[in-house]
Amino acid sequence: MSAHVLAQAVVIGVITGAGYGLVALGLVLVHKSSGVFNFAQGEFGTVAVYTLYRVHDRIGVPLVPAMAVGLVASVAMALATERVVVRRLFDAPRVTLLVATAGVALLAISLELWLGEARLRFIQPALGRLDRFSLFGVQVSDQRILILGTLLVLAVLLGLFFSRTNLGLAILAVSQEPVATELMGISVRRLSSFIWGLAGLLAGVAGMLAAGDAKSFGPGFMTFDALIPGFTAAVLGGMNSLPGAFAGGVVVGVAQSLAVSSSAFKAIPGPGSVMVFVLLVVVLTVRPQGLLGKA
Amino acid sequence: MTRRSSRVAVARGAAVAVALLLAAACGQKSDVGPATSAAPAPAGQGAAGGGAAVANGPGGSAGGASDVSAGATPGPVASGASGETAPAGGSAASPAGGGSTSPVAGPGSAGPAHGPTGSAAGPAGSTAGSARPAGRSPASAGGGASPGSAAGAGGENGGPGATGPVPAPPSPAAGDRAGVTETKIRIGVHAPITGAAPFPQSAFDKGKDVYWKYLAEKGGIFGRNVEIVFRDDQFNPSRAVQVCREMVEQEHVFILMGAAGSEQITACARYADGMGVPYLSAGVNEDGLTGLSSYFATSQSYVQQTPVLVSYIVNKLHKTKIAIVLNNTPALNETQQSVTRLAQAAGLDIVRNSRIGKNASDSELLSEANALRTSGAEVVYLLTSPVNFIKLATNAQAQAYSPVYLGPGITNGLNIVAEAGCPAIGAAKFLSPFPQLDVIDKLDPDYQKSYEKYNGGRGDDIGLAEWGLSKVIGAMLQAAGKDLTRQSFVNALESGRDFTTNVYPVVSYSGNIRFGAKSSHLLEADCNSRTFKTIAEFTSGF
Repeated sequence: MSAHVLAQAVVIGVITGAGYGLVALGLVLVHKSSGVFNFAQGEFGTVAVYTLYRVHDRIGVPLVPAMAVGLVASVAMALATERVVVRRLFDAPRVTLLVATAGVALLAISLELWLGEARLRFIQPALGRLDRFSLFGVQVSDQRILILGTLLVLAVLLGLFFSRTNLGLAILAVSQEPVATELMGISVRRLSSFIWGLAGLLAGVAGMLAAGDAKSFGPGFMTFDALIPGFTAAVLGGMNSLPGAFAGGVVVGVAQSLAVSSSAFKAIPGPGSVMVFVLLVVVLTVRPQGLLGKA
Repeated sequence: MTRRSSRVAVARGAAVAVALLLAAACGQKSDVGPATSAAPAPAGQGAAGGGAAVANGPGGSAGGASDVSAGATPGPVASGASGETAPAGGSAASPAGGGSTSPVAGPGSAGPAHGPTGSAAGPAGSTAGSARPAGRSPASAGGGASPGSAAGAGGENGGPGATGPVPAPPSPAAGDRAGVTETKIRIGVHAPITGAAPFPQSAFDKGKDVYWKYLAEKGGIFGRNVEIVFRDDQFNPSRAVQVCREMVEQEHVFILMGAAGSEQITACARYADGMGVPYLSAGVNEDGLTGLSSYFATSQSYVQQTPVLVSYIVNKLHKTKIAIVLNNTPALNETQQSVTRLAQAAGLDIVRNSRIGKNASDSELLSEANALRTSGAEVVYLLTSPVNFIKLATNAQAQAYSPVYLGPGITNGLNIVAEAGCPAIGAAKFLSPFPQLDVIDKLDPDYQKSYEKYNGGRGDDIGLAEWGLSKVIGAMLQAAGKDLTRQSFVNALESGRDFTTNVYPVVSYSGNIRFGAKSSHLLEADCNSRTFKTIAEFTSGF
């Protein structure tokens, strides 16, 4: 592989991996605070996209207010999930919660199929310019720069939130010692609502940015297109590390891109997926806590 | 166990779950042939209706709109070796798809306007849900021996009709009238309403009965009306087998039809073959379907379409650098080999030859688009799902790269693809078993009239695809005669007669020809109107 092709693969990996990282960020947030693998994270985002589509494309509300409505919808869904499902299973094994969130995702997809029909919908990106600049011959669009920038900003802000604020520290305390935290006068349930609402907000942002980049979406869009790479990114980065989510997303994107671009993998059908598998196995074997996770 | 070690354990478990999900989503499937796992029908269900003699004299056209003409059997042209690939397995989580049963209202059982010549003796079929052959034993088929096998040599073809070894039949029983009553024929259809090739369910629902309602008004098929049982296969082969099993074993359909999706069609066809149920679909891969005695393609297979496309690249586009991109499924191996061989033989320079995942990620698609651009391909021969095609073209456009996309297929030439993919797909060209709406009034004026009559609006191209396929099936059912059994149906198909509809290509079969279509339509995207237009009708080369 020439240096030029390698550089192109890295650029592609970074700009596409940012999307995975954005999803991974929401997954890590919930896992970090409650130990739950949230399979419904993708659908929080899909609901935001459907709402945006309805409000902006159908009713004609301008883009920014419509995005705000979309975010409200995703946060509302996340809060409803927390209240109706998670809170009732608060003391259940984490595996039960994992399955419960998968159920929420499937229910949401069914509702999207029922209400929205199984067809592609078309949506324009917030920023339409495709050739903002070219890096090693790869054109980078404004929308992808927006995704990358959003991911960086959110990762830093969330990192600061958990390390520098009392609320962030309280959330970490709840995740490690809920009983002791409760005895200190901190409401575990209220914090849980806050975390899930924040996860819904992140999913909404990820969904709307990803749909704008893909220019189309359908039922289960975020679950089918982004949840699995997002989970992989989160596991690679370390399930409790917010910067790790960013790093994991980029690593997944770069690995897939390298595999597709390299002539060394020419004989392998679907080399991108194979590369991700190999990477996942290697990282979990050598460093089970992930690239940036703490042992 | 400490909380930390517990978390690591949970993380590992989740990683395994993610890996499994990833495998499912990326199409890394185990090769589990559904046919071999098909449960045999319970023994003891004897053939209903007695041993009705099969008699289906040619020329027995009834009051339908289709033409069934005798004769003109094409010379068999050898083709692909038979593979045993039967993809099945992986699936993405998805809600259960709804199925529907829709009786077609029509005038009772008025006899056909024209009596069939050389028709059947014996009573008309009585009740549904009767005999099913037990497993693969020819002896159990109740005497319904279909013609023996003829080994098909491998190799390319450009002509009509691919042959392959058709083994001694697990054939339909001679008296098997499952799904047939005196007034009704029940047919099972599966299609991807959800999954990687999502089509509007409302379009499917509106279109699936139009032809049968039209035919019912003309007396039906020897007084029988057709009832369609429809299931969503979710673009997933294991789900496809599941819904086909339901339709055969619970809904007792007479025959099965696959609307689209090579893996789903292959999986269901192999299941149907094990059950002795005739299975028809638009032409897809031949690998995995060659050798199935109950399978019939109603249009050209991908391999058969390859010479048409190569001749178009050479003689019409005058391009030399091509790239080949296919979905990563074993069912398309022979197609890749075929297009590679023919392109090389035609002097084309294959600058890239690649596969992409069935549910390829954003990163894979952008990388592929970039690799295509770097390769300098002027034409991209494409055989992927519509969603992958649209995303690939969109990513290529974002890299300021706009090759000519061209390929075989059933679904990439649908207007919904142009609606979603324009302007990125440019003037993409795809072969199709049915024409587009721009020429249908010329070819078959009854379609739009009937669609408006039964649905109250202009028909779309999904409805047209269903109309065309239904028309072919209708012609075949007419040819099978009044005494309709699965064996008489198969016999009618194997008789060598031409089935002409003016929508789908003329098709004919024989004992060893199951891919008997002779031409296709070539469609081109028109991004001004965001629709596909027909640029060549019933073409077999350029």
